[in-house]
Amino acid sequence: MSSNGKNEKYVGRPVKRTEDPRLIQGLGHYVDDIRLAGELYVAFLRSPYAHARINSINTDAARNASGVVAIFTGSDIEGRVGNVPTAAALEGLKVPKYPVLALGKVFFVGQPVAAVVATSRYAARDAVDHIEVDFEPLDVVVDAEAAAQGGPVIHHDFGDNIAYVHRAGIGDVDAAFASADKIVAQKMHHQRLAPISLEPRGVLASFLPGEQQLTLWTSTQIPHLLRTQVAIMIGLPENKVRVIAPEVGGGFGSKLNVYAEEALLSFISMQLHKPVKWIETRRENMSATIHGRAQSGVAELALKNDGTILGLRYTVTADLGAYHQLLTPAIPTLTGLMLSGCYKIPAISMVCTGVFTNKMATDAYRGAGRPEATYVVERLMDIAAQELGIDPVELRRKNFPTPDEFPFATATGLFYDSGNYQAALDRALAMVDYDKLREIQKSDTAAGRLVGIGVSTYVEICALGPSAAMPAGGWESATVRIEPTGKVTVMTGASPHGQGQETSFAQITADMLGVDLNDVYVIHGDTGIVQYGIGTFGSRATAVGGTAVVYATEKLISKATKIAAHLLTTDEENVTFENGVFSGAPDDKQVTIQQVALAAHLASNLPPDTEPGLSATYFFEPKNFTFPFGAHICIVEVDRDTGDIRIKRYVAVDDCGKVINPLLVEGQVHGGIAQGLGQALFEEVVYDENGQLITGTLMDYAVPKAHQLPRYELDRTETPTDVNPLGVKGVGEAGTIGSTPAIVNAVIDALRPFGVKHIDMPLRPEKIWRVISNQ
Amino acid sequence: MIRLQHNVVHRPRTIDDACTLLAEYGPSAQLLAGGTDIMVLLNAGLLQADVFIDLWPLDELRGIDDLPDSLRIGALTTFSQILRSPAVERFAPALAAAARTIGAAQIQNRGTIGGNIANASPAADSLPVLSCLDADIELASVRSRRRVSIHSFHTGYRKTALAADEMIVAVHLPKTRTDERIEFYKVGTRRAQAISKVVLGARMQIAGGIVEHIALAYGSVAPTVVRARAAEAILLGQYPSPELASRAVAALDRDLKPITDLRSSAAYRRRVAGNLLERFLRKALQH
Repeated sequence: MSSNGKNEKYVGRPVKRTEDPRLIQGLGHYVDDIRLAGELYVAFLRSPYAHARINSINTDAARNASGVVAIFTGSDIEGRVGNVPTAAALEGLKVPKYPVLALGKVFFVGQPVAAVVATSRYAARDAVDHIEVDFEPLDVVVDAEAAAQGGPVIHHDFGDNIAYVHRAGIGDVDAAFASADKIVAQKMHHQRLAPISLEPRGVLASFLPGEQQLTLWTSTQIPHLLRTQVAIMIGLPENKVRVIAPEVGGGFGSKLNVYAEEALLSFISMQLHKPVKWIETRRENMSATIHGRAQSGVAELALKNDGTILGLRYTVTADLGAYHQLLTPAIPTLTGLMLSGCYKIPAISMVCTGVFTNKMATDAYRGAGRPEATYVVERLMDIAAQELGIDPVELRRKNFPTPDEFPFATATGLFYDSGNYQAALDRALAMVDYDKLREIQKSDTAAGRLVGIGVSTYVEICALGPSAAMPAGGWESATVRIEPTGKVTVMTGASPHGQGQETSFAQITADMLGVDLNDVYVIHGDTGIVQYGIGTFGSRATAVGGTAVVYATEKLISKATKIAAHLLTTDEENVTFENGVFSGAPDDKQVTIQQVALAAHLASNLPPDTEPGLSATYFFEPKNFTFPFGAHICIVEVDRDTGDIRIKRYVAVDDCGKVINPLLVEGQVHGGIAQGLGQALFEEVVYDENGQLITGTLMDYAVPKAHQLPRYELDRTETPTDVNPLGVKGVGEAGTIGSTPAIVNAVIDALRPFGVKHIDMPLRPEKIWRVISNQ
Repeated sequence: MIRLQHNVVHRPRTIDDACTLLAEYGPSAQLLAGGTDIMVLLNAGLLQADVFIDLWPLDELRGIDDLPDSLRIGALTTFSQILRSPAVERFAPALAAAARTIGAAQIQNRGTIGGNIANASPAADSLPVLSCLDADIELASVRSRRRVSIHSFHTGYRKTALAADEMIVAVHLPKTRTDERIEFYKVGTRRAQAISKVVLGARMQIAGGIVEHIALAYGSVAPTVVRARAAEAILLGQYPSPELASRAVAALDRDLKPITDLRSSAAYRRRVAGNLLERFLRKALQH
């Protein structure tokens, strides 16, 4: 791998995660495991109404409850804590003011109304029930499509509920549709999903009045961006705020955000001069942590009779919720970018209407806009194949760009870096023996069995991204340092939270420096230690952050070479570096990298004009996104009697470019498929007609369980990218993107005897049974 | 209004001590076993109790005894222990099958058979199996020990025959014969907003070509787990046939009262209940 290509002892190998021993023994430290002397606990009174006026709040009884230290309401802090920020800068975007505690009105169930601070978690929670709030319920807006047409307005100043209309795409779509032999159209709904990280959110804020320093431990994916935003919100200098993301038990995009609680607890700690802690309950997590997906629209595809695609149109409504969180309005724009899928589509247009509703905000959830695009395109491909009488595999193949057409320009304005879509699909087809499978399906169908085969080929946009395309920088940073004892410290600005970069970044550095893996320690997630970074999201940590590690290590080797030459009393160009050892011609003396590190710190024998120490920092700016791809095939059998779906086989061939650690890649694919399957079959956030959250617990919100998941048959193809020297593309979201349409396509294929064209997710047994039994 | 602080939790060390505490506090005390239901109710603010009696340390309530004619399963035996028990696998495999579908591993490690019975949910996965096996529930109080049939234990939606001072100490399962067919079926995922779930515990013995014994117990289709007595009556003593099966399925209309607040959902459950019975009879006859 490495840019000097000398050593591949670790990279590419299934090195076990060095994070795991502490995590599986329960020795890791999440926010709640960090205890400070004298810490107080915060519990929130949250709105039970989706839309209501707050006529009055009486906190007298709660203040007198045992253990209560303080209570804060919206009016107590008005003007003293800034609003929850949004980073999305779309033309004409309407941005409602989003106070950290409700002021005058509440706009969704779960919105924080008051914060109780007490000496124990229980006292805080108990006191919440003593706060009396006079809510006056107002008209509720639940259905985004209806809300776009008119009716009650949520944010009065805006006049209507439309936050923005976003148009994307290139090419003459109308002409494409006018000249088409065949047009297929389908209304599709992407249900609301809850990201459900295993660890919910949690915040511990500690302000030291003497030093005027705030330390904020929080379960976040973006410690540095959060530091900047919280500092602005609470009016402290940014360099007096230290954000620490300790162990983070999953994020899936939900912790790529700036939340009201993070700023509010910081403010409370500044007021009380005490550490304050809040750990989100699962109910709070379901109602007041961002949701994902929630798009509903009509997708249309124009084709020639031979299957050649001429154009694609997507007219969609995005249910944004009541307020913008950090990236709320931006997520559907990613859908617009990926509507070309794996195909040559000369003309594409998307019109997306973002609509306010009385619900929690939607935002980035694993895939974030791209699963929506892939689902729309892959469903359309199956519907078109059916209507044209072409095998769905053939229709896909016919429209793939060939490997020599890369970089491939799409009608969404992107340049796909590299790809070989045929190879991934061929491999998946071979694994299932596709032709034979279709034969077996025929005989199964004849015997009355409902067997379906679903194919999905996907491409996604990863390694976010070039800074010009990002709201707050798309680069990533790394510092590599060799300590006097020869131990290697890597500090990455990416903030991994379960992805395993403590292992994979150590693999990269250990190979480049020729040191033992265990001598490399990767530090992340602490703004007090690590140089500014962007974070981990959008399958970017390895492609962007790993590349920064590579370049920082190269810089360090370059300096070490200079010192080595001096120690070897030869010229730099005579020095070679291999397996951690510098050798110098002509007499082949040797010095190790550890000896060089020590010499760099002792600094008594350095070349002239050389800085002591051995450390290098690099900020890597990618010149493009990366575009991983793959082919997923799912085989299902539907039970006629119950509508139950059984997944008989699941095959995934993913191409994420070069692989640093195949174990980590498999882990990402496994988890991704599980979450994609969850959307296809089980999960749905439901609000009733009053905007009441019906799925407020994990008893009501059906996350897949282990026994409901199939055995995964995985393989990879490897098409490197030239966007970064590692040749890696990213894999964090691939499984989620590829799996959902593969599963739905398989179920619809199984229901072909009933003439079913489409069923909206989640495909629960009852829904299937109703179709089968015509109920 | 719930209260989380200043609750009193007693941890008795013997069954007798637990019974004494129950006698003292009566209905104001809440028994706590694995906590998999209690903690959910507490979190939801749906349970107020001043006093909790934590049974978890009572090892005498744990374990599976392989007796000559029955299995005696202690009330605190967890579903993990049940699904790993060779005796359960041999004499009541359907109970092991049910245990496997209850929650995830963490829930199976904490959830107890006694807790599942006492919680009296119509959707409880273990109850249809206990019902089709004609289990007895053993109860203790300072007054006496007694045994109550599972069929008379659940008296209504989340109601039981437990007196205020009584606790469950064990469940007794008569051993089934090896030529009996016992199955556990579960369709549907959690509540997921519509209660589209049906559970069937079914048991049948055929001798000399006729149905000598039949037990059909459904969960999630009525306020309690119910025995399909009308369907059983049609099958009992008859030569099985597809025609007989259809009559039994039709008779389920008299046996089951699926919840009717969501009509289509009720229709689905009624239909699936029938389909599961058909499947059971079909499979049983193949063997």
